[in-house]
Amino acid sequence: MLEIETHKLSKTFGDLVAVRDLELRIPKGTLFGFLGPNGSGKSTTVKMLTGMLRPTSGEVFISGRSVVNSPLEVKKRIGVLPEELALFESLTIWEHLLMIGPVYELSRKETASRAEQLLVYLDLWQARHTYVEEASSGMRKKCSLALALLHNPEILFLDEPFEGIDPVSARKIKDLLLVMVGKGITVFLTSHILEVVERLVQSFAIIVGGEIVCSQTMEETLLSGDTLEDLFFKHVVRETAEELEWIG
Amino acid sequence: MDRLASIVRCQWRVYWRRFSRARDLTVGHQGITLIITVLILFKYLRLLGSANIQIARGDTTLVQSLLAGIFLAWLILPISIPRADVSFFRLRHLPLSVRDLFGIRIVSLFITPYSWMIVAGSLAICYPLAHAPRPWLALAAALLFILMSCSTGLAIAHLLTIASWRRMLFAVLVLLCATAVYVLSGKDGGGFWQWSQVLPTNLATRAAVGKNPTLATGALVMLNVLTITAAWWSFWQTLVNEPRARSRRRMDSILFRLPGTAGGLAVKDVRYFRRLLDPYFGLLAAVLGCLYLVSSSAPSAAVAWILIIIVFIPNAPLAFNSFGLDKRSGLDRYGLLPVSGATIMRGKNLAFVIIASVQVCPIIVLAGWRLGLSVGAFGLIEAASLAAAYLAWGNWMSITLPTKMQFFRFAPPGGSLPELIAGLMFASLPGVLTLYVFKLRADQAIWVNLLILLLCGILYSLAWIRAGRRFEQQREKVVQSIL
Repeated sequence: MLEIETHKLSKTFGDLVAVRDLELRIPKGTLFGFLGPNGSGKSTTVKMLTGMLRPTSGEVFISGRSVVNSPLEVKKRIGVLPEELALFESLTIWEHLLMIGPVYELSRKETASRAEQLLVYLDLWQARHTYVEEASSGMRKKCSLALALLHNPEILFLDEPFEGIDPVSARKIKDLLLVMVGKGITVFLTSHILEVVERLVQSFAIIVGGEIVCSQTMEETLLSGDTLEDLFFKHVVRETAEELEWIG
Repeated sequence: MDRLASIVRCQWRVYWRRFSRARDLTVGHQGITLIITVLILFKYLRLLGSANIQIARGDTTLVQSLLAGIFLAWLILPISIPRADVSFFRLRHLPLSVRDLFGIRIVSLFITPYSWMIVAGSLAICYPLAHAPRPWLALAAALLFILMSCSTGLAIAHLLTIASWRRMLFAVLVLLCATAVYVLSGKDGGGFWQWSQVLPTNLATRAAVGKNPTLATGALVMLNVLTITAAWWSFWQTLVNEPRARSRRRMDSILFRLPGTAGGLAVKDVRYFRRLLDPYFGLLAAVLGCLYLVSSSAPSAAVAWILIIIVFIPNAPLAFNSFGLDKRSGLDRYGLLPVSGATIMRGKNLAFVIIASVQVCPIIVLAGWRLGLSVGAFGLIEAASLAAAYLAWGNWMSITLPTKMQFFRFAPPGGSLPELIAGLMFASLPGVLTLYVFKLRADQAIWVNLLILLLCGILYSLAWIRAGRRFEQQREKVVQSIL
């Protein structure tokens, strides 16, 4: 059964084509990596998949439901760690969780219990009464992750989850993702850290200039003898540092 | 100098780019704002003409009033306009001294057209003063007065960003209002008028026509030294007072247990709204109203109902611009939540009702106690009608004309001044009708007021549903407008 499915998904901003005719088919219980350089359309895709941004054309189906036609039904089933974290600056980490729980129809007791477990696991319990605006970037990211997990989503979208996270927490998040996938939860992950993605995901796609240039399983990659990094740089052009003659 | 100019240039661009980014949301409204400004300017020029005649005769009453107006304008300017989007605290990593940053702060004050108008209006006071018996001294005193007003405004704006100073300034404001009430009631036996001789407005006019002009000018110079030092010191304080990670009081977290899907969202907005300065003027009006109801020997029902109308007015930005304090990050969270736009609007409306209730309920209770239960009941119906009318207009305006607001600042008029004025008139109408109906047909007033409440309720429901739908469709436009 396909959990995430897109058909000719496109998004344009004026003259700029951010995403063009994207075709994705991700089965249930998959840990999927979505890779690409900055500005390639990764976050725009995540926004369209999670109902935050309306596609210019094409369709998105999450668990068989159209995101455009049934946005609330879809949003109840997914958890999202967005690129900009989507936090309210004058609330504490704890207050964020207390606020979000009832929105997902969790009881106060259940919200508090789950929130406590999540914050302890993510090493945020001691800092739970810290204002988000005064928290470090890693703490903010973990807070947003806790919000994405609180309602036990069927599908998890994580936009750069390991950026700014300390190694201990990063390991805990990886362990958690593997447990979730083992229980049949689908994880859609974008990251720049290719080594992490290589060790974690089952399949991946590389997007460059709004178009998918490569899509395969990790098994296929390993069989071809390439690393994920080799494959990535086959599709992404990079400038050499020697061009910056004036440095040093 | 170049590096300072480049930062100021960026601030200039940031400020003006907001209008182009908002696109159709504010286009057209600047014209109406300009018309209102021209009307005010016309009235001001006429007053300057009258002041010119009066001061030539030695009468300084009107000039003093105009100087007081100028002082207030300078006081409000730095508090109401955003600092052209630059956080000076975050500029500290650049190789700029405090003096450089202070220079940028002062120049950035004059980026907006509102500040140009205030500068022009302030300098125009030189026209009547130039016709005073001592024109040169009068002009020097006027310029000193303007400089003092500007630095006082800056100092207060800086201090308002520091929590302990905010509390202290609010206490001073309450004290000043209580003193004003005391003086106006005539109980001080003329003592205030002796003290008023040292008020800056009086010093400026004394330099022009009164006794001891040199002493008055010297006093103004001293005041300038004091206020400029205060502006500098307070600016330095904003740079060194790094926000510390604090533990919240438990009470705040308990508030997050408000029932319903929108309960938590409403408490979040209460937290946001109480960081805007405007509702504190509502609170101040409520405190003064309660003082009146408790201390007056024969309180009037009409005054109690008028007080309810007045208390709502400073709270208007909370209803009329309910997304103004949200940032892109927060609005993105609204987009992620599995709730409809109507639920989000309900949370914001509930927050407005909570803030307004805290201010209005004591007046209603005291009115019921001092004037009878029926007066209290009328007050309650009036307050409910006013809240519904404010939200009916506000829900429309919050989506159509959102404007960026900043914590610990006054809500800016932004690109929606005409709508704000029209909204205030529309939203205050139920309160005015309550008074009118009671005066006209006291026996049937209750039924008419209930009918007004019903109409306001229907209007509110329609506006709420429509605003919810429009928010779902136009969230990205709202984001663009408040960036």
